[in-house]
Amino acid sequence: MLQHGPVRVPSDARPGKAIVRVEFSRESKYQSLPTDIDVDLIAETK
Amino acid sequence: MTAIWMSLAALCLAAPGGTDTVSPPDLEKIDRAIKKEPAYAGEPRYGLLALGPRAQTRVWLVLGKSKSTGDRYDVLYADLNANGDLTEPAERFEGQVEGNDVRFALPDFEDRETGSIHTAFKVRASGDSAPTVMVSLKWRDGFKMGGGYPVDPDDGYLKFADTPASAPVLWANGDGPFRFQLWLDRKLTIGAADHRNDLSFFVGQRGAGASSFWAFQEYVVPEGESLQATLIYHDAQGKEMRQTSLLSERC
Repeated sequence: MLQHGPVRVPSDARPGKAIVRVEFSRESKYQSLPTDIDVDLIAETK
Repeated sequence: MTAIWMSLAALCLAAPGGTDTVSPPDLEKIDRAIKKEPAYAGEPRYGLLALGPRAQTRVWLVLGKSKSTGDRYDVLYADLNANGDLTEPAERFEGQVEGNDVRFALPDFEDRETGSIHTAFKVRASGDSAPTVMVSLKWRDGFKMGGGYPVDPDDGYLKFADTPASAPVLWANGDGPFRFQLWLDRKLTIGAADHRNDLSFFVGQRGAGASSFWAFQEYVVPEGESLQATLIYHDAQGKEMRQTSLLSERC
């Protein structure tokens, strides 16, 4: 089972390394430990 | 005063949702010594399954061969009573060949540390000389969980090691708190808010070693409930910024 969806990247973001911190919301019945995942931000190609 | 703090701590642990300050066990520090091993045919392959909220129950899983000249791993030694002795006759299992895989069906597992019983305990090994392995069970006879998963399948699924000291550790814990592992793409397109930036995450527990994530294998997050993904990035001026998205789809 995978949980997924689009992650919004604002247009003023600088290309390069960034982090996505993933966790359950406070309303969830599940507990989580925030998990930091390295990602690469790339410029949109026209 | 001490009693009050203990009560507050207990409330925090029991609170639903959000984050938990409890640190996960350090799986790298688990003692990898095996007390007693059988005479294996062929070179054995070692993996360790740790169970429970503190990973306190350790079950060695060792792949072997029925014949030293065999080309596939078709025997599994599973330390089901977690005593470190792999020579007990009831802990040797012969697999069933299905296609390219060898499958081992194990008895229900009773975790004596927690009293929990986990059912549908299975191990699947690919039928080659350096097999990939998938371990699965129904946590407390409920949700199906298993591992190990890589971030990218091109990196290869879990492989057992040729020594106990270097064995990967899977952490079977369906009680949480949970962590997450990305599946596939690590690249996000700046300015896009569409499928190009769709990220997928396993929900479960990190193991130790490559491709050792332990994940739910069926829908556990209720429909409509979201994961919170906060992008921490730098803007054009170099200032740290945050943007939170809610991931509510599942597959």
